Amino acid sequence: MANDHNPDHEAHGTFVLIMIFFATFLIYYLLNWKFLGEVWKTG
Amino acid sequence: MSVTPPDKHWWDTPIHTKEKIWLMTAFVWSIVLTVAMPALHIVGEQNTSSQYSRISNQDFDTLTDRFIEANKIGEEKGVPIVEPKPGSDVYIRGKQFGWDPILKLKAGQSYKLHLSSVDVNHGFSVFPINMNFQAVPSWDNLLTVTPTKAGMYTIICNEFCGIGHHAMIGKIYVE
Amino acid sequence: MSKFRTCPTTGFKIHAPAETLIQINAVTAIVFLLVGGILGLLMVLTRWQAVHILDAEWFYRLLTLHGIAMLVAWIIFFEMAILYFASAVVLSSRLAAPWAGWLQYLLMLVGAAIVAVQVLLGNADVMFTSYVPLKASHWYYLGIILFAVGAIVGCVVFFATLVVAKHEKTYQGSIPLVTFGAMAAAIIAIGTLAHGAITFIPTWLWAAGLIPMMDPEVYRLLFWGFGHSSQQINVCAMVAVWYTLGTLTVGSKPVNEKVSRVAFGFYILFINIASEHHLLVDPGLSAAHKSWNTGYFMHLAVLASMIHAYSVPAAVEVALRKKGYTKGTFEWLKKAPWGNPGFSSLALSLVGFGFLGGITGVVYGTEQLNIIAHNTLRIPGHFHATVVAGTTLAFMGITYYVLPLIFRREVAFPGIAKLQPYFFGIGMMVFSTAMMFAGGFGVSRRQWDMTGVEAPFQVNFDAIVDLTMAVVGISGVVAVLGGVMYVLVAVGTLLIGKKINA
Ligand code: HEM
Ligand SMILES: [Cu+2]
Ligand SMILES: [Cu+2]
Repeated sequence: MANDHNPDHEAHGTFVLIMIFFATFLIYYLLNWKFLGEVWKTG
Repeated sequence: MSVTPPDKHWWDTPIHTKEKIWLMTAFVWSIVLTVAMPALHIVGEQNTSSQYSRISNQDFDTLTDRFIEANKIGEEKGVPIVEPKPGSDVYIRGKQFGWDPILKLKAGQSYKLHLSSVDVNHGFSVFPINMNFQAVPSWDNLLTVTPTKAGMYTIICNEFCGIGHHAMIGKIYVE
Repeated sequence: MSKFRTCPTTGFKIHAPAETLIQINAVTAIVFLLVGGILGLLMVLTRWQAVHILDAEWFYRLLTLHGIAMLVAWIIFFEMAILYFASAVVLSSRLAAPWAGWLQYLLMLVGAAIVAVQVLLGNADVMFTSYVPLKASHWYYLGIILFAVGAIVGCVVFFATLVVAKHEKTYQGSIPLVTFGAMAAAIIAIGTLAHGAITFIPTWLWAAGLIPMMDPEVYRLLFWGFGHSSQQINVCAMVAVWYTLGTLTVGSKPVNEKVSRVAFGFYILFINIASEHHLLVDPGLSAAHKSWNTGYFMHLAVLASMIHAYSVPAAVEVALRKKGYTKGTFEWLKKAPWGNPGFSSLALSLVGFGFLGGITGVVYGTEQLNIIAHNTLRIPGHFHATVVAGTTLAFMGITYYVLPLIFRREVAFPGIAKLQPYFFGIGMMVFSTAMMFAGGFGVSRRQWDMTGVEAPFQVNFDAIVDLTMAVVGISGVVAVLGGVMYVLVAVGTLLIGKKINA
């Protein structure tokens, strides 16, 4: 974390926000696979 | 500033640690998203068709008529009802503005469903389970389907096919 | 050099013909936004079954026009203004061949007018996708072709201006990031419009009775090579506007120019090929082909968006922290200039595009998952998040700077301007979310009636779906209100805004 305390680069808030984004992404993605599993088998 | 030329050494500026972590996460995630599709072809039970073929509208029309003739068991609102044997070839024809025939299928049995249109594009959307496939004229979209639950399903046309589009609703019975 | 003035705020040297072309393209764009917005109101008040104001024929007809007025006319006229801004103004250069700029404008205007007239006459009830064998009058396709040729001319003027600026040394070093992003957009545009030509020229000749019809599936493939790639022009232009807004509102500087530029490069390289996600449940493409196409290539373009999703807010955060808002994790966010419509547009556009549009786009574009999304309301829900809550809102935000910088007038009705992004952005986000929710229950897109009143069989949706469609209706009206506020401020500024003398 060498340049973490460099004020030119400090973006801790953005990092937290992007992780929230990633978690949302993951949840919605998995949820949709679950929904898909409920429809008729097809291929 | 994003509206002024960058510093001379913009190409060598090191990437901040947190940004690096995010870049790696995003990259790995992209790979997961990519690999998931082929993987689900192997382990998943709901996949899109790769058994399509070209067919003329006339041939599809004839095949559907023959299919109806051979399996017809009744009629509802002027639309023939057919009860095909499990495992057999089943035809669904989209035509401005209706789907025919009405299918009577058995839960847990699989059928080879041939889906096409004899005029313009139509959308095959099974309600209420919400499965959607495209019916394209001159193409046979062949799907092996296995209905899971008994009940009455409607087929909503979900591709705009003309001013009567919303009136294009068909039916499937599963018992 | 009498044709130049120096902007007192930014120090840019502004070439008079460039300024005029930016003004005229932006004003025309806003007129189309107004038209499309009125149509959007009619659409949403028809889909809300409890209101259902249009009859079927006019619903479909005006839906075709809404798609074209918005996705084609509003967005692309505005992008022409952005291209001229990002080249001539940002580089303080003269605009290459202003006459060609006028040609761009006239071709696009005439093309759009032909299309609009044909649709209103009932000669083109085909939706903006015009999938064959649905057929419009040959004039309709000609209008689209003229519009596209105009847009190509605009891109050529942009590139020529970059060459002029480099040659006449109006700037030092590499081009600014914003210009770089606009360049990525223009490169994609050229490739896209070539696809448009191979789609629409044969279709036009077919409609005129000169050649046989293209195969319907081939048409779909070619159309989306054009239709989807052109969305990447919008994404590039929007991201360029995001960086600009970051700089104009809080003085931010890209955290890493290299990363941002490489991400723009990914857009250029990978998006065209990802267009097949529109054909995932079609016959005609093998599963291996679909997985490859929408997998590897699409996700590299998605990766690019995820890179910008970090670097744009990070730049804002760094800038605000430098202003002294360093407490905790989020003091900078709390103290951000939320009353500045440029900033609130940027923030809401990021959230709308990223959280709502981006995530759902990847999910619905996944080969198997498309089975439960294709052609349902989930799709218009998704793209109203990307191209409306994202791109359109970003363009609205930049307008609050274009008005003083290019039109040289103070923004009129600042009180309305302050609230406008919230009405439009939040309204649009709720609207998109509600449409995606209803689509999950199987509600179809492009459908005048969802209950089957005119059909042999009825469809009975859950009560929750009716409720959701009411939310779609109400939030749609709120968004339209936000759109009206925008037009009011923009037109008000042009008519009665205080002149800024420079
Ligand atoms: C201002 C508020 C807006 C409202 C209330 C609105 C509403 C709607 C509605 C209700 C539909 C029909 C959905 C369906 O039944 O399939 C629709 C379709 C569409 N809208 Fe909007 N819209 C708005 C703004 C925009 C903007 C700004 C754009 C583009 C930049 C846009 C692009 C489209 C497109 C491309 C379609 C699809 C047309 C088609 O299916 O052929 N809309 N909109
Ligand atoms: Cu149909
Ligand atoms: Cu239809």
